[in-house]
Amino acid sequence: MKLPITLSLVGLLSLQACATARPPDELLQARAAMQRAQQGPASRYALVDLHTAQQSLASAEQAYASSPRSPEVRDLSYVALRRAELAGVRGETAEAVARQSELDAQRQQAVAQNLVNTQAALATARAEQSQTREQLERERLARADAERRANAAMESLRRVAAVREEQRGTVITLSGEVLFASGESVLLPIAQQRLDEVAAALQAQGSRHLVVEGHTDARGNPADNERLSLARAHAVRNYLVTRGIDASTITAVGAGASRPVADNTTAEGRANNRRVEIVVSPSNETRNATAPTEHPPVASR
Amino acid sequence: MRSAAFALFATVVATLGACAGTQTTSQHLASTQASISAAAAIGAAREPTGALHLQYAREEYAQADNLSRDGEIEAADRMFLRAQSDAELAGALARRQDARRAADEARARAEAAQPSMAPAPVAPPAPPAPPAPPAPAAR
Repeated sequence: MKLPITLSLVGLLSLQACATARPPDELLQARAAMQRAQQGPASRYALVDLHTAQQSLASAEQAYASSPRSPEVRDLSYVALRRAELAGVRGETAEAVARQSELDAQRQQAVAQNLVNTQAALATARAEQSQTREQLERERLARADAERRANAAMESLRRVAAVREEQRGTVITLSGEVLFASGESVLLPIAQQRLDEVAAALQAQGSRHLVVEGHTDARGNPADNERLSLARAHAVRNYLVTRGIDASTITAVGAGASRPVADNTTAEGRANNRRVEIVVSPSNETRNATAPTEHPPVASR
Repeated sequence: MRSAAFALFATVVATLGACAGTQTTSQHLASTQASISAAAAIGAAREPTGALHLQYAREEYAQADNLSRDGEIEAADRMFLRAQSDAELAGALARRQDARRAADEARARAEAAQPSMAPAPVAPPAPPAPPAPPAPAAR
């Protein structure tokens, strides 16, 4: 008889122990939610909500301590759970708002920096444009000045020599009578004065290739005429070099009587055929001049 | 005569007590209704978890109202508190969604303004804890 009573008491005590050992799910969830909230951004951004949730949880715990099985425990735990979740959500919301403010500030900073960079680039571009414009203006003025000097030099040249334009370039013709004694390839003193003016005019033209051509009339031996014409061409070339013309830009050619410009049967025609022509190339291209050939003048015309 | 006066006094005291209880419940009712309306107004229903909590709040509100009508004042007050906490959570979830979207947009704007800025890794939002379904009314 005593045994059933003892077993019943043990059973009741076990049930009581089980009943008090496990809190209701709502309270367990509320405790977990509170822990999550405390470890999240709510601890920084939602302290008031966190405090309210803690108070709610404390009320639930108090109710559980005084009457574990009462329906009040479940309701208060439920409210504590929601308030802990609310604190967590509000903490995350405030964190997102703070992040947005930070990003907006970064954006404004970037926009300001971009503006500064753009203004700097614009200023640089304007400065470069101004420099380019000034450079172009200087070049234009230099070209105009060079052209003016070349024209002036050419006008000056026309007073001492015949000047004409041909496809091969500007041809300056100097009479052989003025430059050399008959049959000689040594420049006369008067020729040097003329060639000084020619040299000045050629220098004003800038760096151009020159061909100095010697020509004779048709009298005498053609081979002698060719040697004489070449010697005279060299004499003129060498003199021009002494007056500052770059030697590498001048070629001396002896044409002999092969390219007359007048009738060789008359004295006047032959006089015109005895000449030296300086051909100024139309472009700025320069070619290596042929080395002067060391042929002593043999013909005397 | 004395017994009649005592009865009248007792009736007045009981009526005042009842009125006091009713007033508290009315306040809860009004504030809970305001919380539910506010949550709905800010669009809690467009956020899935918020919509769920808003639904809980409405159900709890109806349950609390019934308890109040049945004279279960304490249980009704606690149910109103539950409804109010669910409504506030629903509204907060909608605000969090808005704030996160605004932060994402701000990030996009900041990156567009400063292409060299390395995009910071975006932590995926923690999945919200599944809301506990409303427990049966505690009476």
